[in-house]
Amino acid sequence: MSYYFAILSPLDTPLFEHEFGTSKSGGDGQPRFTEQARHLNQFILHSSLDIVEELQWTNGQLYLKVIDKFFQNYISAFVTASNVKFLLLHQPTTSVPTANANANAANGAVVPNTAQAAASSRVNSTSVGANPTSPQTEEAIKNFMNEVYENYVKAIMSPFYKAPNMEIRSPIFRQRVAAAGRKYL
Amino acid sequence: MQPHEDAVQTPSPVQSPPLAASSIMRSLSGSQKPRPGASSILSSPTTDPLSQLEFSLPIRTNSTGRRPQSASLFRSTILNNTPPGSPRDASPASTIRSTRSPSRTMTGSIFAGTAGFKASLLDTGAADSPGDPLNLVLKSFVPHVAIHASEDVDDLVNAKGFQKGLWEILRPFGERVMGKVNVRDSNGVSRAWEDFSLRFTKFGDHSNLQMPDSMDALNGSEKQGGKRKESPTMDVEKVVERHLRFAEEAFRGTVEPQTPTRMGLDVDATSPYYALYLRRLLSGMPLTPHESFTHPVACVMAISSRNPNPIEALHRLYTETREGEKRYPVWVDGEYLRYYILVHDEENSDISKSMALFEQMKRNFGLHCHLLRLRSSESAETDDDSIPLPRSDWMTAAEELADIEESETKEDFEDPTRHIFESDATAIRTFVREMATQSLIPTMERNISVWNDQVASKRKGISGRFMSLSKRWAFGSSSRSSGIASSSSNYDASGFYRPDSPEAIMRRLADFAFMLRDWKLAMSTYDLLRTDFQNDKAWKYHAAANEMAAFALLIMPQNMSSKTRIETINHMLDNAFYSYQTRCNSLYGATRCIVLALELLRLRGGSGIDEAVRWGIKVLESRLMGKIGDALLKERMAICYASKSGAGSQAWGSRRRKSALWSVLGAEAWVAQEKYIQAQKCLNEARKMYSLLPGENGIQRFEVASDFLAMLNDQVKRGLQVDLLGPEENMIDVEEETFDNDDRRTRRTSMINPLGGATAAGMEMAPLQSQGDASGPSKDGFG
Repeated sequence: MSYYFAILSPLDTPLFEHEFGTSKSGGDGQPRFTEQARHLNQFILHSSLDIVEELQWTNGQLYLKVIDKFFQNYISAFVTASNVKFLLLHQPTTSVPTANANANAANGAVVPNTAQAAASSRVNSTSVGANPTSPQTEEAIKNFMNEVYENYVKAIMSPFYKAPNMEIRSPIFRQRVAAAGRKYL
Repeated sequence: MQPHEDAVQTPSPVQSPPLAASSIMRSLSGSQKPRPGASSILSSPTTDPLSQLEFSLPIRTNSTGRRPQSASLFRSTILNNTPPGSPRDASPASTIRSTRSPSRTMTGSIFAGTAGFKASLLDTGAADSPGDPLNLVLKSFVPHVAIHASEDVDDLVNAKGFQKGLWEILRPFGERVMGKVNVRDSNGVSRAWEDFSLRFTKFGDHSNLQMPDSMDALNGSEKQGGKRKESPTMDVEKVVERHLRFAEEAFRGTVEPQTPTRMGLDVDATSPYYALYLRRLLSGMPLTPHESFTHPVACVMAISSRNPNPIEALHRLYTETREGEKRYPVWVDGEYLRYYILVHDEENSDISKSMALFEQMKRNFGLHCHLLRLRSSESAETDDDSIPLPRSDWMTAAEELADIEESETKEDFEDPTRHIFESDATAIRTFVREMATQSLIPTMERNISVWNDQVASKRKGISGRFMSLSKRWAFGSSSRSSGIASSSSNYDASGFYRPDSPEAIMRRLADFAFMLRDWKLAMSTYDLLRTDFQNDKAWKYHAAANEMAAFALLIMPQNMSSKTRIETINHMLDNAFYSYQTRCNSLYGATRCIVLALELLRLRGGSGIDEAVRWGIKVLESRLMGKIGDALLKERMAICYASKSGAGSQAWGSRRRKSALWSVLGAEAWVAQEKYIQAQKCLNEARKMYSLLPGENGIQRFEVASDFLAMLNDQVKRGLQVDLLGPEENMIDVEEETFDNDDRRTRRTSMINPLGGATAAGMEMAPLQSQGDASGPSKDGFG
C-alpha cells in the first residue's frame, strides 16, 4: 500500500504534498510508486477535485470517505474550513505487482530482501491496505485525516502563514504528517 | 407508386460525401482548378482544419510520390468532418440531412430524478448526424437482406464495371431507404422513420460465420472459428491505423504546421476516427446462433431478362437457398422472406417481353416481385448523367483493409470509385424502398405479432411463468449437475437452440422488434429470455440478451426511478460482460457491448456519464482493444466527461478536471504511437479544460505533472515538425509564465513550462524515432 497525500487550496494549487508507504503489518513506510505513477498521481488527485466539489454539498461530514477510484487508485477526501481539501490517494500493493517488483529490483541495493518479502506477505485480509473500502480502512484514514487536520490548523496559525493559498513549508508539519501516517496507515 | 411521392424526391441514399470526395479528388489529381463547390467547403470558416489538409494534399502527393487515388479510400475520416449543411456541387442526387443538433447529451439528467424527462433517446436529435454513436447503433442493428443472383445478372453487372455482382451495386443504397418508412409497433401505433436502412449481404458469403463453440470442436477440420475470434477487432485496429497514418503523412507535406495544432477535440461531433472504429467494429458483426441480427430477414433472388428460361432459374435459386451448399447453417431460420427481382436490360432487351415475364413471375411467386430496369453499359465519370456510387459505409474492416493494402502495393492502382447512371440509381432506390415498405417491414410486423401472440405471450402469462419455474425446480438438482444437456431444455447439446424452439423464436421476435425500433417489446422479450438462457446455461445467448436488453432500456423512454434504472442497467451490463468475456471468451461481444453501452449512457447524461467512464475503464483494464482502440477510448472518455455540464456559475458537478486528465492520457497514448496530430488535439483539449477551471491554474502548480505535460507537448511539437522545413518561428509560442504572489493568478494557462534538465534527457527518444520513421519508404521521393 502506497499513499500520496496532498493539501489543495481552493484554487487547485497544492499547498503540501507527501508520499509515504504503509507501516502496518511489516511495511517499511516507504512509498512504492513507480516513476511513471508519480506524475499520474498528481493528475488523478487533481481530477478528483471534480468529485469532491460535487460531494461536499451533499455530505454533512468533513470526512467524505473514498470518493473516487481511478483504475486501482482510491481517493479519500476531507474538506476543511476555507475550502481547503485534504486528499489521500491510496494504491493497494496488489494492483501493480510486476511494476513494483521491477522497481524494487531496480533499486535492489536500497531495499533489503526482507522488506520485499514483507511487502509480499503484507497482502492479507486483515491489513488496512488490503481492502481500501473496508470499514477498518475508512476508520484508519479518518483518524489520520483528523490528526493532520489538527496539525494543519496549528500550522496555519503561524503569523508568517497567509491562509489559505500559501504553501506550507514547515518541516515540523511534515514530520507530524509522517508520524500520523506511521501511526494509522 | 407511393403515397410519399413528393418526399421521395429529396432524400436519397447516394449521399454527397462521395460527391464532395470526387470534387476533391479532382483537385487532388492535379491539373484542374478547384471547383467552386469544393473550395467553398474547404475554406468555409466552420470547416475542420483536418479537411483543410486537403488543400495541401497535392503538394504531398507530388513530393512523396504517393498516388492521389488512394485518398478516396480514406475519405471517411477526412471528409466526415465537413459540416453536412455546407454547399456542395449541385447534383440531383446530393441530399444530406442538415439537422445538426447543437448538443448531443440531454441537458436534464435522467438519473437526477427529474421526473419530467421521459423522452426516448431518439427524440433528442442525437440520432441524426451520421457519425454519432447513437446513429451508428441504429444503423448497425438493421435487417439484413441476402442477395442471390443468377449468373446472367452477374454478367450484366460485371459489364457495368462491378466485379462483385449485383450485391455491390445495391449495397450503398440499402444504407438509407429513401423517404419516410412507416412502422407499426406491437400496439398498433405507427411511427414514421426517416433514416431506415437495410444491410445487403451476399448470399453464400459466410466469411463472418461463427459456429457455436462445441460445433467447432466436433468437426475438427474447420478450425477457422477459433482463429477468427480475435480478428474483428484486430482488423478494425489496422484500418483505423491506416487512416491515422494517412492523415499524419498528409500533414507532413503541409507547409504551415499550425493547422491542426490549434484545434481541440470537438465535444459535439464525434471524432472521425472513433466513428470509423465503431462503424468497422459493428459492420463486422459475425453470423452467430446467439443473435439473429445478422440472420437474413429476406433473400433477394435476381434473374435478368437475358435468361433463356427465367422461371426455372428462379426455381433453381430458390432451391439453392433451401438445400444448396451455400445455404445458411441449421441454426438460421429457413423461413425468411423470398423476394424475386427481374433485372431488365434497358439496352438489349425488349421491355414488352420483360413485362410479360414479370407478370408471369407475379403469378408464380406472388407479390414479392420487382422489375428492376438497369442499363447494361458502363457509366464513365464524364457522362452527363453519371453519379459516383459511394463506397459502402458499412464495409467490413477486412474489406477495407484489403482495399488499402492494394492501393499501397499495386503500381497501377486506380480509383475504386465507380459510376452509375442517374436513371439506374433512381431505379434501385425505388426498388429498395418498395421492397422495404411493401414486403420487408409488413412481413416483419406480421412475424412480430404472430410470435408475440403464439410464443411470447404464453411465456409472459401466469402459466408461462409457472412453467419456467417448474422447469427450474422440478428437475432442479439433477439437471444442474448434468449441465446444459438437460432433458427439459431446448438448448441443443451442440451449443445452440434450434430455430423452431420457443427461445430462438422469441430471440428473433425481440431482434425484429429492436430493428423496427419497438423498444418496449424488445426490452420485455429480452428480459424474459435473460432468465431462460441463464437457467439453460446458454451463456452466449445469455450475454447477448442482457446486452440488448440494456441497450433497449437505455434508448427507450424512461419511467423508472433513477436509482432502480441505473442498477438494472448495470446489472445487465455486468452479466453481459461477464458472460461474454469470462464464460465465452468472446472478446468481440464484450467490446461491442461495453463500448455501445458507454455511448448510450453518455447520451443519457447526468450520472450516466460517470457510469459510462466506469465502463470505459473496465474495457481498458481488461485490455479488450489494441493500442489504437485504447487511445481512441481515452480520447472518448475526455469527451464523455466534457459533455457533463455543471450547475451554476462554478459549474458544480461538471467534470472538467477529469476530462483534462483523460485528454492527457489520450495524448500520452497517441505520442507513444507517433500520432502527433491526434496527440496535439488532445493536449489542446486538456489545455482548454484546465483554462476553464475556476482556479485557472490547471495542473501547473503540480510540479511533476506539469513537467510531464511540458514534455508531452514538446514531443508533439517535435513530432509535428519532423520534416517541416519551417524555422523556429513556426513553433507554438512558449508563453511566459508570470508568477504572482497574489492569489489571483495569471490568466495564462499555458502548460509549457521551462524544461528541467531531467525531463529533457528523457525526451530525446520520440522525435528521433519519428525522424527515422519519416525517412522510411514513404519519403523516398522527397527532396
